[in-house]
Amino acid sequence: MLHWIQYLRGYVAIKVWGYSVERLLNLCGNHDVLVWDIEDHGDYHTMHISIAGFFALKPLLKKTGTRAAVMGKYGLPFFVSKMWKRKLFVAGLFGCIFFWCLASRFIWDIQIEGNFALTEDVLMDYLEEQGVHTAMKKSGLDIGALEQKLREDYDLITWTSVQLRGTTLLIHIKENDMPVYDNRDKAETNRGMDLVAEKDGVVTYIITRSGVPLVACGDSVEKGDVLVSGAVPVYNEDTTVRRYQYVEADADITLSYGRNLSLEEEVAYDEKCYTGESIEIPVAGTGEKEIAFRFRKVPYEFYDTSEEKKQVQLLDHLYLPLYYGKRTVQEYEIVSKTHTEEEMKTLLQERFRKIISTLNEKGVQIAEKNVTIKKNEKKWVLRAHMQLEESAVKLTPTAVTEPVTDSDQEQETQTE
Amino acid sequence: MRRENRRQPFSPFTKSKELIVESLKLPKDTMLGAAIVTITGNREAFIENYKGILEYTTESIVLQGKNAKICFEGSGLSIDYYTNEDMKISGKIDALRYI
Repeated sequence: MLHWIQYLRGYVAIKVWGYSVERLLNLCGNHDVLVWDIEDHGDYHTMHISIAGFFALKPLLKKTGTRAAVMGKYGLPFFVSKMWKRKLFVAGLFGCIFFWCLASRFIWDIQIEGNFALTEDVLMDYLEEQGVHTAMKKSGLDIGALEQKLREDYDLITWTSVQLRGTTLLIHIKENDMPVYDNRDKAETNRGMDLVAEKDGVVTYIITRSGVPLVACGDSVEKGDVLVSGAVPVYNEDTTVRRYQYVEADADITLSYGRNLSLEEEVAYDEKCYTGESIEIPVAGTGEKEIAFRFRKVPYEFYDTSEEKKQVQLLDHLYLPLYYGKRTVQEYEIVSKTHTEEEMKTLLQERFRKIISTLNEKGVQIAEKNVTIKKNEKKWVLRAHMQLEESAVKLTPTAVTEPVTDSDQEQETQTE
Repeated sequence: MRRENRRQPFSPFTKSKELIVESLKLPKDTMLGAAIVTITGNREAFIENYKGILEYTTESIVLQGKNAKICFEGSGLSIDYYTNEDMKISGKIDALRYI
């Protein structure tokens, strides 16, 4: 307690030497000058004295023929005056505390756990829609409502737990392991779906599982033609249509069509030859504006520029709109060259193979192909005619014109 | 007798004062200005009602009481604090003498 009072009021450690230190001590006592922790070091005495006492000491020193020197200053008054010289530091300290208090009122990170089928991006977008995002105020978050909304909007989610831990929003969800059947799409298909050709061509193969086939093998069809109708007629006894039953058309159909292709390749070409000379320029900036830390011009006539940038990241999910990185400028020279015959052949064949492989990936089969290569002084041309087979069909809702004819016919039958 | 009288600094007046204080059971330190010395073990001494410091080294501290000098002898002696009325001495105290 006493130490605290001494600290708050401040004190000075002094060294006293001279004719009669004892007399000085007596005088101090008589003049109510507070002195403590007096130690004898032979030649001199050290003691602690209050600040007010130190100022009252001067006449006493003169009277007793002793001298005093300050060895150290302790206590709050000295600390404050020391800090007063470092105003910016103190302001920074308080600013920092203030900033932390302020920043801890916001959510700085959102973590989602337990999601398998629903990806984090989907959930993050959903949260954004709900007004839950990083750098939002904690007080603006209704945890109970968010939990409920998540369960309501996603059938897949069976259990939710939203927690605020510090400045992190933890969202635990449990997904339903049982498959969820969406009934909304089914309801639409009840109206009936047609299979429609997506390309012009010839039907080479058709097997219908449901619906009414409108084309047969060998028929030519145009894009947009209905191949299998989703409206199955129910006939009256007199073979007039009583009504239509709507189903989702399902059939294996292959359309065959021809396709011409021509690839050109020039014999002469320019090649980029990197000279190996390059400059690395550090860059920094926001998303749109950038500063390159180089003020001289790039000394190359032809050059490629590539950039590698990183975004400043504060936390796992919190990125600042600041980027930094480097820009590499590589010099190159343009050299004119000509392909050899062998090279030309492989170049064209490689391009053609790539086209075929992409067709294969799409599920297109090649029934026939006829490839010719025309050679010329300047360029080679590869021409190909291919007969392709593809199940180029898509489902479209059945046109609902039938009920009109349906009712007309009914009326006719009635009038008859 | 004379010699004894010289040695004794007390006047007949003080002697009678002492008598009165004794009989009335008044506190002696305030009435007679007698020093109270409280020693805890041999490491701490607490002195009240002293008049001044006469000598202060690590080996001995001599204080002026009203009627006698009080001399603490020992090693590593130091004054923790002192005011006009009281004082605390710490260190290893070997002897306490009244001179």
